[in-house]
Amino acid sequence: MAVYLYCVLPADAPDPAVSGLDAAPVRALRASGLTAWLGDVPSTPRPELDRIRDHDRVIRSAMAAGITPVPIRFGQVLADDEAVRAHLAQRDYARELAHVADAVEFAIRVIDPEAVAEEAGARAKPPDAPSVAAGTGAVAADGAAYMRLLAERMHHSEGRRARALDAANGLDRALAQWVRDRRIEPSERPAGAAVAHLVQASAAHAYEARAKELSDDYRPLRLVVTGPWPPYSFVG
Amino acid sequence: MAEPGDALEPHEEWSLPEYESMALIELVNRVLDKGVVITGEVTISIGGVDLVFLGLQLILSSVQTLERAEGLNLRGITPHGRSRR
Repeated sequence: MAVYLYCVLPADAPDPAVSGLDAAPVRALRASGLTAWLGDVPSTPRPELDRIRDHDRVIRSAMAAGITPVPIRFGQVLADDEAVRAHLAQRDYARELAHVADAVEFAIRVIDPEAVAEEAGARAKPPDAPSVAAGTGAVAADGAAYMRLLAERMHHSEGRRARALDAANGLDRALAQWVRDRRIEPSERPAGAAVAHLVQASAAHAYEARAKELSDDYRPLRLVVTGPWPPYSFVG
Repeated sequence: MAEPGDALEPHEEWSLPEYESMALIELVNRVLDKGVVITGEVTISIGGVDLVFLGLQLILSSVQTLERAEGLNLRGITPHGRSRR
């Protein structure tokens, strides 16, 4: 058996009241002024979607109880409780807990529908693939056109990436009053940009309402706001 | 150049409304370490057009958290365990 780590909470956090991976029990271990929520697993679990949801549900149950924990990513396994105590003593969880205290994470995806559509088209069939039926000469001409198209696409995608990032940064400025911390990066799939914001839980409604209002300002880009999430992007 | 509309062939994978698609992607991105990605495809609907964009590759940059790569028989995000590719 091994010990699977879900999240780390303050010392006075309650015991978990939720089942974990594969419906297994979740228990609390207290050490170093912290509480860890753990499960016992036979070995390192494989990442499957159901288990990802189980993992997230455990962490969300802490959020629902009004505690923002330090969420651990999927798959962190330690040998036994002793190893967990050593781990809690080693990493500065107190600082991380303070950073995310009373906060939630929101995600905003800036999606570029044109880039997404082109990508989908490119994946379904190659662009203007040289036609065998057109004869030898036509194949060469089509081949050159094909290469030109590929080059155009590359140029396009650079401009698009910049446009999506500009939008992401604009959003970040527009929402800054509610944002304690941020992560902004380009996104490949979907094509666009990804924004993560750490937001005071009490301001979540105001933040979310404003973020959704802003969607219209960035057309033709699309904004998809999801959350509140546990602060996965702001720990570790 | 292929039109976005005609380029899309019927796919058997999960098709979800935009918010649910995106929430699923954000969930997987967050709960899994960066670089660890599940296989599968999600269809996202933008402006009423279904667009397949999430043909996630199996990338493993953080082996430590998963211990053994051969264990990554990811059945993916497809609803009934159907995996593609």
